[in-house]
Amino acid sequence: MVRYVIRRLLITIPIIVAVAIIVFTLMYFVPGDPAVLILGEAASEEELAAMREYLGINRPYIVQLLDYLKQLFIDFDLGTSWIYKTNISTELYNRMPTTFAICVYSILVSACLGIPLGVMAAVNQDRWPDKLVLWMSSIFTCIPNYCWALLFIVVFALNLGWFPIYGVSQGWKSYVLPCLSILMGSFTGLARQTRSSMLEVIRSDYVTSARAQGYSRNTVYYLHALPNALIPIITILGTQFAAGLGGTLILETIFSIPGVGLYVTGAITKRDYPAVMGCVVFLAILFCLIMLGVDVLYAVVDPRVRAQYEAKGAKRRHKA
Amino acid sequence: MTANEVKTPGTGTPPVEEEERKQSGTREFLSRLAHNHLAMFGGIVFLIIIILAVFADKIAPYDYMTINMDETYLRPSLEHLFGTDQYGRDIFSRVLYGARWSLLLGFGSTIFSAVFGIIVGSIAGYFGGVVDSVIMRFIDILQCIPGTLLTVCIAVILGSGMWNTIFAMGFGGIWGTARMLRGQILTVRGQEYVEAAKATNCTDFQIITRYVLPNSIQPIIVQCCSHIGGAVTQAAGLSFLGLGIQPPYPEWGAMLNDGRAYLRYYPNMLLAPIVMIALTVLATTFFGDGLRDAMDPRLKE
Repeated sequence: MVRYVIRRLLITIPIIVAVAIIVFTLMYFVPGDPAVLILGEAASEEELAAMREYLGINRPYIVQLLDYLKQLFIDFDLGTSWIYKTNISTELYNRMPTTFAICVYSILVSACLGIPLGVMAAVNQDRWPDKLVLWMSSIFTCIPNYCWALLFIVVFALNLGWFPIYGVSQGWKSYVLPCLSILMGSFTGLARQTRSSMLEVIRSDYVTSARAQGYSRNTVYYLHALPNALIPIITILGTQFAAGLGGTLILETIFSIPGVGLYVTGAITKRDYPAVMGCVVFLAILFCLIMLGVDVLYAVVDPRVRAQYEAKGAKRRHKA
Repeated sequence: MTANEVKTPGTGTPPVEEEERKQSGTREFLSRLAHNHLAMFGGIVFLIIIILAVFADKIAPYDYMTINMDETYLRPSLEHLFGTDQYGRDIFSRVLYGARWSLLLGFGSTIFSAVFGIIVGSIAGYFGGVVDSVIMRFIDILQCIPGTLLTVCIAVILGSGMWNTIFAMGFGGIWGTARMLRGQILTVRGQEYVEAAKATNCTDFQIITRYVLPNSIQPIIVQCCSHIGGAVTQAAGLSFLGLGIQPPYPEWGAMLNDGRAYLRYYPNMLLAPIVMIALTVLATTFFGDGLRDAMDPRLKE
């Protein structure tokens, strides 16, 4: 298992290098002169030339690319923002906890709500709890999270005044509406996935025999059946988490939350290329780590997967 | 239903009925679809939205651009079904015209990613070997970049406007489609009829288009139908951020962005586009699920 994790981490390195190259190339070929964007249309030709020299964008593509890669992977520095003149790593370090908090809270609540609902639906297949869950998931998931956010602002922030409209200055209260907006789609989707993967295991012989041995319904459903249905559920949770980290752009804009999403949106609209590249590379690394975490979790929850890794390791040792 | 599915090759069906059997397969598919009330409901709602979009200029009571400063911020009434916005433009008419942009973006980007996904996927799946490895590694790399972020980046690089937005959204969707089709093709590639086609000296292009794709493309079509709703959502999100379609054009996301500033006193400006987005997504999801179940009843949960 440890060997597997190390190998996966090693594979991640070339992937991240490739992501950096792709993003750099995309940004390099953007039409428009960055120097003009920074100094404005009124700048003189000498000033522009000096700015180009300062940014290092008058060098050939390949030199710039290698320089950027060296800065990323040898100095471990994401670079400096053109517009704000601040270090991008520090900026991300300061902003990450906010975005992370929103994603973690919403995923936790979504798991606590979605999984029991899904189990309930599967156990009562074709009866009212099942129909309720299916209808709820159809209707809730069809409204995108930014629409939920706008609706919640109108109802809970403006009319009822329970929660702030924007910012994160009011402690836990500021996190309620953004998390709720993500939740509406995510917990119902999770419930749906839990339902279908529970339905696959619930008719198994071991469930029947556990019932026959006299275990209570809930013990059998939650301790015998659910662990066997967990793998697809973990996959969904992992993708939702990863999508949340990279996809809260619009939500953070609506609620003016000073997180990574707002930073990226600002950087993109102001054409702050180093900041955009830094964020994309950073989020890609996070994404790879989350996917690795998901794979490790498979082995944690499912002894069959663990056994596979162990068998592979044993074989490799045997060969050596 | 699964019992009807079972083909009867061994029971002495004469080959003359080949044509008839093929036809009854389609008929069976249609009847399964027709018996799925949710799918029919979704299909009809989607059809109505499409009709509204196509005939927006005939149905809409007002023009979507005409500014009328005497009638700003009107509440919903019989004259203005959903009220008017900050320039006195009729929101009902704007939503109808907005359906044109939203649906065009949704269809356009879905078709774009389907076409290129099919090309990339069939090259990877059919040729295999080094080509396959290179393409799949490239897809692995691209899928490490968060989808929304990639789309937003490309949308900014290309600038706003319909074709650019379609490209930006479609580009992100190519890779998932390609991966899925490749998986399907891998199961078809070793079949005898492909061998036979090779033996009769068909070109690779002929084999792919005549033998491989028809037998592996079904799930892609189904996925595309369900994807249109997601694409409409994504397009609205882009326009909401100020990319995609720009005001004064009434794309639903752009309308949301317009109405956002007034949501304290005039939330009715937001409600119409939200309802339209939700209806479109709901309709395409129901219809897509129905298509999937009708094509392959075994998949039904």
